[in-house]
Amino acid sequence: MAVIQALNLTKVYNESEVPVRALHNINFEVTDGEFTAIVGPSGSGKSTLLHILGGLDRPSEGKVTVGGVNLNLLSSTKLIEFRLFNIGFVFQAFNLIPVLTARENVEFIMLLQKRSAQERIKRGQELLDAVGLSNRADHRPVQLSGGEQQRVAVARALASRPKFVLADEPTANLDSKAAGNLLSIMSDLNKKLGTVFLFSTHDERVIHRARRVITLRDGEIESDKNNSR
Amino acid sequence: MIYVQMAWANLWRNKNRTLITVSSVFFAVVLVLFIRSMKLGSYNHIITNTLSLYTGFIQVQGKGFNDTKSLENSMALSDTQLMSVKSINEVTSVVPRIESFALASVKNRTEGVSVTGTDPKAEAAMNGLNGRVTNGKYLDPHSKGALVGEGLARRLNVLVGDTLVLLSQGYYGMSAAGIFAVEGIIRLPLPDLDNSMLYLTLPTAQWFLSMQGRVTSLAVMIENPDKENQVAAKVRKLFSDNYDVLTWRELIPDLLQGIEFSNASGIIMLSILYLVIAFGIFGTVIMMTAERRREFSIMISIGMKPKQLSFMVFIETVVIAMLGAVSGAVASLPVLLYMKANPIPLSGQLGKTTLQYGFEPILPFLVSASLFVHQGVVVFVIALMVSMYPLWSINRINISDELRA
Ligand SMILES: Nc1ncnc2c1ncn2[C@@H]1O[C@H](COP(=O)(O)OP(=O)(O)OP(=O)(O)O)[C@@H](O)[C@H]1O
Ligand SMILES: [Mg+2]
Repeated sequence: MAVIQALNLTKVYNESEVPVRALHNINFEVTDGEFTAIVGPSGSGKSTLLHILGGLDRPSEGKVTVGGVNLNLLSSTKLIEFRLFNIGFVFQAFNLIPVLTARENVEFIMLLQKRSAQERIKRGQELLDAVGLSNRADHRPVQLSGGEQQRVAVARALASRPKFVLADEPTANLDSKAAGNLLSIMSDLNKKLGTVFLFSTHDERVIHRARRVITLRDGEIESDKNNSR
Repeated sequence: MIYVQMAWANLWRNKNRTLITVSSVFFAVVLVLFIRSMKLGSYNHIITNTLSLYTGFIQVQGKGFNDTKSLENSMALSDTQLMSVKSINEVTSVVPRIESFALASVKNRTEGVSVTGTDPKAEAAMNGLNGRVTNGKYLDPHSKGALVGEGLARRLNVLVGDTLVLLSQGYYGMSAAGIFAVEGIIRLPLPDLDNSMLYLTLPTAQWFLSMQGRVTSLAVMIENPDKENQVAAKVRKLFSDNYDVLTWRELIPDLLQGIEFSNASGIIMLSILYLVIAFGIFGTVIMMTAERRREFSIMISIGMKPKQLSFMVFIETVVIAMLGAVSGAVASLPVLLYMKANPIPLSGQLGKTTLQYGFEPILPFLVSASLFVHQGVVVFVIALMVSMYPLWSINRINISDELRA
């Protein structure tokens, strides 16, 4: 079943004198259980695409549906609520709320969802276990390494039980070891929980971990391949 | 309340940022308090000096006396009544007086004079009249003679030891006439008064005007001008409807007008200062908001509503504004109290002019609860108004742009 559908997505930035066409006529579907990479050179439109799929930005033309819901039809307030319950985010860096501990960062999103304290504590613990950080649960982001912070971000992204997790260059600031480790954790969680992961990268070291690779060039899909191992 | 906790934690997380913003509010409060304390202090100085010499803050008068100035509207004043006013907590001194007019003649000169019968001791306690004697001596309670303003003495051409004749109309139209020795010459601050004032003891004046046991006014001094109305109400309770209890605002409206006029220009200056302060705090807040754009964007992206985020930031600003306002007030207090105890001396022309008007040439500071409350609240409100900026900016943030980097 299609979790995400992108239909004729076009994004033009009109802010500068010369309009920038960041995306042009993008069409694809993401189905249950996928673990998919979006790759392409810098400026090819990866972040733009992920932001539009995640409801952080709106397309100039075309539409995105998530679980059958057309995001174009949601008001900005509704869109925030929709993100809270349906989409998990991991960004390149500084994902976490600085004043909260790792555990609190993971629980915070469930607090926004108004889940019970009992559920928050239980699920927070499980997820921190799953990303291998239960021993660092009470540390603040500044006390964690970049790799550890990204793992907490993954735990947080999953805490809300989203339909899919969007990760924009999650490994860009990590060394090879931490990058490999993060990808293994994401891949394991994808298999175990079935949550869809869609991550952008131009990092050759991690592209091969994806089972499907969509390549962008100048805002258009250049190729869309299944990685056979 | 997770947002309150987070707001609190945010303040601690970036101590420098918090400190900078708190100090911008802090210095605003200190500056405004200093300027205002000085301005209000100088008004207070003028008012207190003037009132102690003339009307007092509050006066008890016979009904209608303020309009007619006639002895028919004088009042009976018993010692018990006098003591009961004196025993009101905030009252520092009271002076019973008779104020009237007479013709004074010496040899072939005749001049109109203001006659004030007073209790020399009480008068000295209230305004240090005894210190203004330039020649001869001050009245003692049993003096039968007169104390004459310097200007008046010149006009009448009298010296200490000379005698003068006073002619007037006493209580109930009784004709009043008496011969008085000049016991002392005094210099009074306002030229008009100096040229016309003549003091007798209260018993002498009562005898002269045939009004034993009666006075025209009881002047009441208080230390804290803020308590004026409160004390007036207390005094009013002590007297029947046959008496008027008036404040200086009703007695010398000219003084009030002069002060208000001067204060209006002070307020304009103050508003400009407030504006400067507002922009100072604004600058800090803009900086702080710019620094936190990404943090805010992350929170909104994961599903926090701008409303919730704004609430958190609002709490932060309230705490900052409070810390600044309170610490500014606390730090100002000892400084202002010191300045109050050790006023700045006025030198040069300004000092001379002040002295000519009989006021001590100093710039005293006023320290009162209302000053702190007013200025503290104004700066606090400015800080809150400025803090609308982050709220406004949270609602306009382009999270997609912020999260790309
Ligand atoms: N707000 C904007 N205004 C104008 N142009 C923009 C804006 N945001 C992005 N662009 C342009 O859109 C294009 C796609 O940008 P995008 O950030 O999606 O690329 P990317 O593939 O994520 O690149 P990178 O690998 O460097 O992160 C770029 O040419 C960029 O300059
Ligand atoms: Mg990008």
